[in-house]
Amino acid sequence: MDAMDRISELPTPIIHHMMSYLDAKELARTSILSKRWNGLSIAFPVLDFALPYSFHMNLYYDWYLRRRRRILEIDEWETYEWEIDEYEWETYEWETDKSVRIKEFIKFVDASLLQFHELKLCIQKLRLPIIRNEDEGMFSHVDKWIELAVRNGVKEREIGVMPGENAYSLPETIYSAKLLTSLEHLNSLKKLTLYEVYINEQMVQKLISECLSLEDLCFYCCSGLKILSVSQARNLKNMTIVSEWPSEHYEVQEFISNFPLLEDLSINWCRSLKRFKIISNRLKHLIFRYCWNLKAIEVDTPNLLSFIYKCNPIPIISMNAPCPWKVRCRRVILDKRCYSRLKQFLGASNRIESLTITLMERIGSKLRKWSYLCIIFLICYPKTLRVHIETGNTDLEFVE
Amino acid sequence: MATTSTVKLRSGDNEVFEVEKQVMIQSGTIRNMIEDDAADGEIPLQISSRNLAKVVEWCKCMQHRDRNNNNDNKEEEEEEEEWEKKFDEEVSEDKDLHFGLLLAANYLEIPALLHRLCQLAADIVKGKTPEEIRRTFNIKKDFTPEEEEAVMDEHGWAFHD
Repeated sequence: MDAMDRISELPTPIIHHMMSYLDAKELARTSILSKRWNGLSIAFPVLDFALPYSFHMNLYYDWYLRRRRRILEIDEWETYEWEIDEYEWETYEWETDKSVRIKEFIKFVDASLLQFHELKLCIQKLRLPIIRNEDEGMFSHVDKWIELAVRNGVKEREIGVMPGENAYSLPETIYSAKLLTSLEHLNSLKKLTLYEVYINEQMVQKLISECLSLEDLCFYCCSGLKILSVSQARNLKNMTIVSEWPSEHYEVQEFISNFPLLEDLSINWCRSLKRFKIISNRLKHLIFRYCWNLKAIEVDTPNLLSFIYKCNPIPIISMNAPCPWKVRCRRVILDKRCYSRLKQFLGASNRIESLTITLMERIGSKLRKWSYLCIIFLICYPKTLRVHIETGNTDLEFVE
Repeated sequence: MATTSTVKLRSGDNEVFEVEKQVMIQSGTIRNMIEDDAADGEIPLQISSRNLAKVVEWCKCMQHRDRNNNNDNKEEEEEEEEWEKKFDEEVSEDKDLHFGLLLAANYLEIPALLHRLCQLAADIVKGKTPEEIRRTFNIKKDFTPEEEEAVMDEHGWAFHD
């Protein structure tokens, strides 16, 4: 019989390594196994508060009630107390309830981070979830948490701020400014994801000039940026912009860049982006996806390895990108104007790896469409070509 | 640099394995020894012959795969995948082997093997209740009921489905 507890005897770094493959919930559950495992999970250097947050915000009372129910089941007074519980639950003021939940969450994060600080443990990664502005002075807590994490040597960080109804009010701006002051200590930070943060041009400039080792920057649904134009990012290699914010006024509308070391750039769902310009010898991968208002792009990237242009309008372009292109155009109405643009766009490439065009059917123009398509085919010699006609559902595939 | 192209590893129970240096440089510990010209004699290791044989076998397979990465030999690829699958199964079922290899990979500094073994251990933990995990690994619950209650309270969110 194998009755030896071999796993608990493994060195801490090995068990932490194993724990890094578990999600936050699975990880927290290991704390109940034994004293040794409780210690291991306390000292685990990746702090992810996203799950605890959603739990505290949405489920706390539900869970609390179930727990009470479990305890009450063995209680003789079960029926009586249960009724009171139910009553309290129904008449609970939402606001009071919410503030209780937030306080619980703040307490939880405080305890976790302080424990780390007191034990002088090193934090590898800190992930704070979507946090609402109006919550109980949450931002002062976030400031404190960041400071604690920075003092414990955090290397990776992800913060989400969810603007409330008064999304662009003063406190948020102050908060962001504060956030950036605390970033001054972060010149060793390598990866930063800003999630739904209000950030303007000056803040980006400051951020990039302070975080000298930053290699990976991701703006996720950020607002406040109209023009993104930065030139000081010395080490920035990967940049991702994802945006689904409905308002057009606060998004990136222009992107002008000469990030000297940028290698990967991906722009997704950026509906307000109209003009884009990049000149770079280092850029290797460039992706545009679902930028519905893109009007003009100017790209001079002689060493680009891949270019993906998916579901954006056909832009006016000036392109120097000698690499395989993958292009997908949706809802194309092949009139003369569009045709000449398409011709100019595709003609700028010397190698089109795949081309997918979804055409809007218009009565009586079928023949003309075919002749246009034949000409497109002659301009760009795509390796694979897919044409999809909206109403006819005709799929055509050419493989060269 | 040393003159021979092989290195001799002696297990804790005195079995000697002669392996190509090219294979064993995947181990940071042994690579350092080779670079310092300290690998000419036998290298004594505190690893049982059973575990050491497995480590050597794994290193050979990985080196073979890396060397063949460029040519697309479908048959060999499938063979390697089959071998890896068998390795995963064998390790997941035999805890002595699994944890012995974890210690060996850690000591010999073979990151790829360490990743794989940790991933396998995590896969075993996933989806199990604490009681099931304890039973699987023979972990003894050493909390008093009060202590257990306190830990449960602290991580309450995680025990709610």
